[in-house]
Amino acid sequence: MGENTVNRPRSSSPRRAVQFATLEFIAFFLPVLGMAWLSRPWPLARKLFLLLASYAFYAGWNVGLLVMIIVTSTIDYYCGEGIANAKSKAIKKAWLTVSMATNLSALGYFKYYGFFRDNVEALAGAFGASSGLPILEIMLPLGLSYITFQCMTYTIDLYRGYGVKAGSYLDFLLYIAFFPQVLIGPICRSRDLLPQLSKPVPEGFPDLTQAVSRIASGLFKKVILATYLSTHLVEDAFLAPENFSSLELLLAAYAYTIQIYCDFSGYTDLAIGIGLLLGIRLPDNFNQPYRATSLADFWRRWHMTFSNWLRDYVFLPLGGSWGTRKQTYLNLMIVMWVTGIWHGAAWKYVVWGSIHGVLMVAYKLVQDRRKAKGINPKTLQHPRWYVGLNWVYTFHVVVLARIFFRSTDLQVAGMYWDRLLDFSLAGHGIEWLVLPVAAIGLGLNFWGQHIRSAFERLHDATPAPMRPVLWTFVGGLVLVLQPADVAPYIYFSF
Amino acid sequence: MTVIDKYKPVRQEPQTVTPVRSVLPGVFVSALALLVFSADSLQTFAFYEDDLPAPVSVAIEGIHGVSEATGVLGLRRGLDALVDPLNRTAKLFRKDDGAPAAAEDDEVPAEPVEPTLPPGERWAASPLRDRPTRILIVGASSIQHAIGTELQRELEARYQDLVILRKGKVSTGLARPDVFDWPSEVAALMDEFQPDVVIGQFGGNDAQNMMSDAGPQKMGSEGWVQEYTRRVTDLSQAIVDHGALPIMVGMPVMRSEGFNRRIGIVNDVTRASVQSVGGLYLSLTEPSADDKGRYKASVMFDGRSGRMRMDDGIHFTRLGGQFMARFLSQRLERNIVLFPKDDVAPEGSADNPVLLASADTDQPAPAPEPTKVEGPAPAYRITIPSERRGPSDALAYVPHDVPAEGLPVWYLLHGAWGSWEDWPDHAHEVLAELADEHRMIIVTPDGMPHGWYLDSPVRPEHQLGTWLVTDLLDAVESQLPADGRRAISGNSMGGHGALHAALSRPAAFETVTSMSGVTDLTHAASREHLQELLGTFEAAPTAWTSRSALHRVQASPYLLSGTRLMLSCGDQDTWWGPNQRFHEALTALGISHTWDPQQGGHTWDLWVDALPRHAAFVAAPWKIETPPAQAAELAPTQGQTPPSSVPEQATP
Repeated sequence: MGENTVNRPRSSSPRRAVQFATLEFIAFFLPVLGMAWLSRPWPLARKLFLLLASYAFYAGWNVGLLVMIIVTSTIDYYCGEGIANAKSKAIKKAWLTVSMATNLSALGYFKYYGFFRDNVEALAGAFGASSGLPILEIMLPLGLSYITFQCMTYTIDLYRGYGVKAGSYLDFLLYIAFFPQVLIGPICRSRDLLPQLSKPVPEGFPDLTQAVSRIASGLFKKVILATYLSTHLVEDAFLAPENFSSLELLLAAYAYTIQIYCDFSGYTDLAIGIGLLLGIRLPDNFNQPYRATSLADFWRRWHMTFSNWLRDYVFLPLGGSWGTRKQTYLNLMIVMWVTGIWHGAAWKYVVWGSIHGVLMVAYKLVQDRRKAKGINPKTLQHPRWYVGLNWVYTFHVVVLARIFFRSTDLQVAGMYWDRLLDFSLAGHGIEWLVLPVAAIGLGLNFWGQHIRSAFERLHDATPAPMRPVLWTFVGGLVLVLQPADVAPYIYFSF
Repeated sequence: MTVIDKYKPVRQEPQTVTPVRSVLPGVFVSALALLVFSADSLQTFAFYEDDLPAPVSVAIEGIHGVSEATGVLGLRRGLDALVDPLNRTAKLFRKDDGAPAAAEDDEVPAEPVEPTLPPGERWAASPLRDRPTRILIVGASSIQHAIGTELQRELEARYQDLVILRKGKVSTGLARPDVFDWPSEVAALMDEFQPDVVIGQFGGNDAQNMMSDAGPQKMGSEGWVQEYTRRVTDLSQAIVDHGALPIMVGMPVMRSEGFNRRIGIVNDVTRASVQSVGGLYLSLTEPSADDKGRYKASVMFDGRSGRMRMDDGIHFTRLGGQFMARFLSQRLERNIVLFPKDDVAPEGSADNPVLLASADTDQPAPAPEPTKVEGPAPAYRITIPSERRGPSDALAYVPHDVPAEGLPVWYLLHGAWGSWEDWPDHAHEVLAELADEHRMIIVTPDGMPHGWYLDSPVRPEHQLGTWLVTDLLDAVESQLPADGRRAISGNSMGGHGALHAALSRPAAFETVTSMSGVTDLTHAASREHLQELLGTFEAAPTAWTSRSALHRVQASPYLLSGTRLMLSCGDQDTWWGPNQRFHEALTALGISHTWDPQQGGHTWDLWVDALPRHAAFVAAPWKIETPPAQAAELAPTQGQTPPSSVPEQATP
């Protein structure tokens, strides 16, 4: 005790509680689950309890940054009140400006200052000068990108007139901080969450079967598949590609695309399942993304709450695709640049976003040409091989562009491409199990929903008293199959 | 502005509602069953979590008992054992990197070498000559991430003839073999890869409680220090036994003060442990701290500036990793044989600045003394206290006007039948002059008439070898104004003693020289005094070979490869042959050294004549760090070698 408890890094710590698949999270969640249902008769107390639990969850990562969440959500709540009560459009606009300025400056300072400084410094250095900007040690608050985006949907939707106003300050704080989604989404619109918070507490578990199947699916994808792929190939290949052969790097690129799907969609499944256990339904984020046969199709299926956000709050306000063709192309590029830089303050994300942007513009160009010839691409029936070819193309753009996304920086990405294109076979060596694990992960993209439905039928057919046996069996299976350690969530860092 | 809301909110009406009372109890029962299924992990968790409230610990013990009694624990262990091989499946696409076949026998001298074997033949299979240097880099997240990847890149970019294998694993260390068993992993990697050098960095996750055979040990307690010492020493010893040089890299300064304090304990233990088996310790404290020794968040390097550390205040950014890698490669270049590529700028040039002056100490290099008082150094008689051998005497020549940082120390050992008075008897005035001229402290310790500066396997109380590299150094450095830099030399038996000391603790001495030294004990196998200490050669050949410089260097060439070496011997000496063979062996192994053959026998005349040359050789690296103005003043003082015996520099 005493000095030993100060800042002591431990084998297990509250920090691990923010990852869903840990002993610490279960120790946190079981009492919360019990209290959430036992406090049903007192809705206000229940919400207060859920809010405190959510703050405790977030504070497990960093107590200091909790203050930031509270401050920004308080400002946004009052901006929302201001917009709702405003008599004139100008006053509404003023409130919206305050809200946007708060969120964007928080994001700008915490997330982009270092990037800004490094680039100004490099530019000044090119002219033999120095920018004089200090190097600040700024900690990026976990989930900030998600929190600010969610705050902004609230005030913007209210401004546009179709938002749902929070019933109370408490409701709003809980809407922003609700722990299953606070760290990496899904990004909830006010219409998704606030009505559920102001409604009477449900009588029992809504869609228990779905909750169980989501959690089982999330654990399997996240804890077993994603962890295995990360620790057995992806991590090392992307950190030091020069040690691998081109064949291995190609496999590593596929493995990463499968890993990131298992990791992120697995986390979303867990968030949705945990939400359902608490009586809250969260929006889905993935719809078989690797089934896409064009990049636009891919972005409609991948990280949907985020791409919808960009569509509704960036692309459409810019004019969407109603302006001239050139304007549409520019709008597409802007959206993909925002997508890139949102993922992190680094040029590699800009390059990644630009690749998607340029290829989407090229695709649009071809379609526009066809339209000009009087062919409507939407009604065109393509032969199977043509669709197949489009799938191969789309999947490989996604896989290969992510080399920039995942590499430490552009220089390392360059090394990756160098090695990838030297067509060597043997190198560092890959454990054979990586291949079947990757295949299973990719298979889940296509047939995951079928497997979940089958599991749900089994769960529904199981008599209530026998269900805990099924739960225990699934949990035990995950415990036995999980690799030695659990890798961190990829999307935590964005 | 047209706003079209395309957003579809989530379906909010549930299809089915399951009553709470039919779910909650089931959830808790199921959770309990899973806890019983995870009883082992729970017990481990409880052990490492020392702030757990008593009821929780009791509950966990109870669960463990239930699990054991019901056979669930056995089932779990069986299933885990079944699944475990999946964590390490066979590798596809593995390239053959030319690793030599595993040695049959891992003992230090693989087989006692016949002393009569003709020279040359024995060294034909020198590991340094016929294949590239093999470096294994192992450790936790810092090795998997920035420091490890950048170190590998730096070494591969700057040096030729290297093969590097790097294995890093996040959240591992030596404290938790239940999480990851590094000693087994390193052993497996060494068998597979056959490294010449093993670089390890482990301490980052080790500032926590440990389980020893004697029970749980609280971090930082005496028992913990003992246990961690044992673990680092065992691992380092295993590396030495495999014929490789262990190099442990310390952990950098941490942002959190409490964590930093505990990491300091880990670093101290690591340093002492790896040095105790003759390995090297490379500290990262210095490059990761500001000039007041505090945590530094940013770095300027290679014309770029930016954050050095990640948000957690522990790990490095890529720029930080590159800085650390350059620092480490410069340290390694001084300590192991590395062959720079032709296009690589030499250390100390504008393209490759020497990052920080000192290598293995945590102190910056001392600033040179601005004013210098002339005159021979006065000699002081000092007592070396030791529980190992009892107190002994020594004479110390300490120059005038010692700077605040202290001066380097040159240890001068005597030969058989002698004592600490030998050197003063024959060369008192010369020693006083040399100490003054080269600005160093000269100490002549006592090695007993037939102590041979070694630990005897026959007489366990005779530990003169350990005494020399521990008690003697500690006593001298606590009593005299020493700055931590050391060199060691000796004549005859003392030459053996100097080489043996450097081989047992290579990091301790920058320079080793021998005058007519006993480079091969087996050549003196008939000496009764040596038989008393080692047993007869026929009965215990490895006791002789493992203490002989010649055989030791052959078995583990890297141990001496970073030390500056000089050998003198007269051509009429009975030790001429062994010395010549030692010189040839070093040449064959590619170990840089200065060979100084003389005309004459095993006499004090020859040694007193050689003394100024050895002093100049020993002091040379210590002079480099003085500014040009003063260096010019010091340079022409002595014609360093008589024309008759120009030392021949043997370079790889």
